[in-house]
Amino acid sequence: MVKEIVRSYYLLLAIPVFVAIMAFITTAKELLMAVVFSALMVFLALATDTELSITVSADLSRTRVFAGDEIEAWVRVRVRGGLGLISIAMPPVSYGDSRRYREGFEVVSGKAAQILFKGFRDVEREFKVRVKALRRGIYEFGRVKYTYHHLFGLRIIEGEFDEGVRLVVMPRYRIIRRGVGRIKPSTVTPRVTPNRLGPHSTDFMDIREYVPGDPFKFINWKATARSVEGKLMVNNYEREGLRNVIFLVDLGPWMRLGYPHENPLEFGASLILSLTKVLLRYGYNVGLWTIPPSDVYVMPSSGQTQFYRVLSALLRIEHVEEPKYEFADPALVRVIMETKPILIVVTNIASKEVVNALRMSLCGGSKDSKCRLLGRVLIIDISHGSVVMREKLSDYEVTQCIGRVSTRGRLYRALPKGALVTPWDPGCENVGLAVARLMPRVRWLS
Amino acid sequence: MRALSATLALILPLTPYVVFMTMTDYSRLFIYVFMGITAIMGVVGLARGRGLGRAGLFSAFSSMVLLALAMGYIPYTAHVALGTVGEPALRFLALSISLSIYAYFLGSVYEASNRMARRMRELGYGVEGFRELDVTNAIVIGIGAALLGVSFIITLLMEFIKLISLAPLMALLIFIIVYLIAMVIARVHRGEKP
Repeated sequence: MVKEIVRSYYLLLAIPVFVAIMAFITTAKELLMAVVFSALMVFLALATDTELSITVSADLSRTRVFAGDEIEAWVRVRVRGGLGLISIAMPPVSYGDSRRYREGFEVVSGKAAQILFKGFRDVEREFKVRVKALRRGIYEFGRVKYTYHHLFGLRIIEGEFDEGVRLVVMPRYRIIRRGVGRIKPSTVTPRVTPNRLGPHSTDFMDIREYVPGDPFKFINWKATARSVEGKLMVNNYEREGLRNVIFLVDLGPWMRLGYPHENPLEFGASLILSLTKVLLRYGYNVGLWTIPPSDVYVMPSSGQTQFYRVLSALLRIEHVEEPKYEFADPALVRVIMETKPILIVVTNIASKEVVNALRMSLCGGSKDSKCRLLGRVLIIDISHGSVVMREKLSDYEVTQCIGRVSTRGRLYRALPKGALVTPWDPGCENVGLAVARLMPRVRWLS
Repeated sequence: MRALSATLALILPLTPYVVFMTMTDYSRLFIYVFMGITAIMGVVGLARGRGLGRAGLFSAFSSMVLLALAMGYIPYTAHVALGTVGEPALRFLALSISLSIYAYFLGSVYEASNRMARRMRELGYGVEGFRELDVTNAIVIGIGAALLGVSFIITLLMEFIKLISLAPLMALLIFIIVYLIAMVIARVHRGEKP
């Protein structure tokens, strides 16, 4: 995209002619000098107003990093033709209008905006900038913007290049290598497992009517032939895996309280990923949905691929300024009804609004203490107080974190009965410790 | 260097009026008014970051108009002259008008560099280390001074080496016609889309 603004062109051309006319009218041959000078200046301006050719290439030291990591970005600029000033904006400055980029990155060293003077010779420069990725997400990182100002203001050319470089900033997660207590389900895996979505095992369960999506190899031809109504019948096999665990991530504005890169949503993403890692290792099926429902969801499944599915979903979630809470997504309701999973709600119970939002999402707005959707629910309440007050707290030199806020107890009591609430203050406890503390609760719910 | 550009763009447009004041019998009040307008245009342009060069342009054009009202065809036809301008004053006026035009170019360059400096400040980079902007301003000051010298030499050559016997006024007339034709040709070749 190149936008060209031609400025002062006619004014510049008019100067020598006006001076010459005035010299003619005044009959002052001494003014010849002014005529010659202005003509020379105009000649120089027009001679240098040639076609400008800018080529830009951009690259990154790494394209997948964790939040908090530093990346080096290079931009090579080659300019031919023209005479004037060129400003170059590299990422993240080239996405300057976007709040997401402003909050997502911090320039550590170098400058993401550069100015270079294009003289009579061709110019070739390389710029480096070191950037710290602060927030998780998938970012386009190949846009380089430039603005060319002709030396005498004849034209301004604005343009941009997009090298198509993509940067993935993953949330940090902890791999818990040591045992975190007994986290396998306390109940013995039943013969008729409630799992519906794991891979098929070879253990025969029953025969049922065919539904679209069933593998053809499961069609039981004998049973089909015996069917009175002539329906296609398939063998039903048990699914592998243990219980289903479904994370429900709250996207309400209270999840954004704190700093852009340090808020309950960011801490929640990190915690979910760490928990997912552990749960998958122990054979759980893990799924993810958002409240209010959005297009981001992951059907429960197991295996390492599922970890990347959850990671990919977490990269896409963003808080919603004015959320419209409604009863859960129909697909989620079906999964809950069929598999009775453990629901882990990640939220920040900062006010009564949050309680109402949760009631609306989990119970369809029911005021009763009984909840339609609730099975086994673990609510992780991520508080933002310590993060916000970190600097103030360090002044007291007594405590580094606020810990559990007693006023939240009343809000917890307003939640649907049966929901187990676990507060987590990221200022007091890191993700690893939180995972170790939460896993026995997951086991207890299994 | 940017400061020098701005200072020159502010001061040089005042030189034609200084010549009018010191070397001619023009009404002082009249000159002060024009001087004041030029100074205000310059200061406002500097403060706004836009329009600094216009002071130079205004100064050059207004002083030429003042001159046209004192000598040449207009007083000859109207039988009224605003003042009298001697030959030494004319030489200095020619130089000062050239300086005013020079100030216009300096103002334009200062504006462009200032716009970039402002953008850099907005991005939080401060103004330190803007070497490229200073280089640009230094080059324009240098080029302008060099062209001023070249035009002075060309004028001298035209005055002393008479290759073609042509009256200066006829030469000017020919220049205007040739220039206008060249301008039209340049515009057509540029494929202008203003």
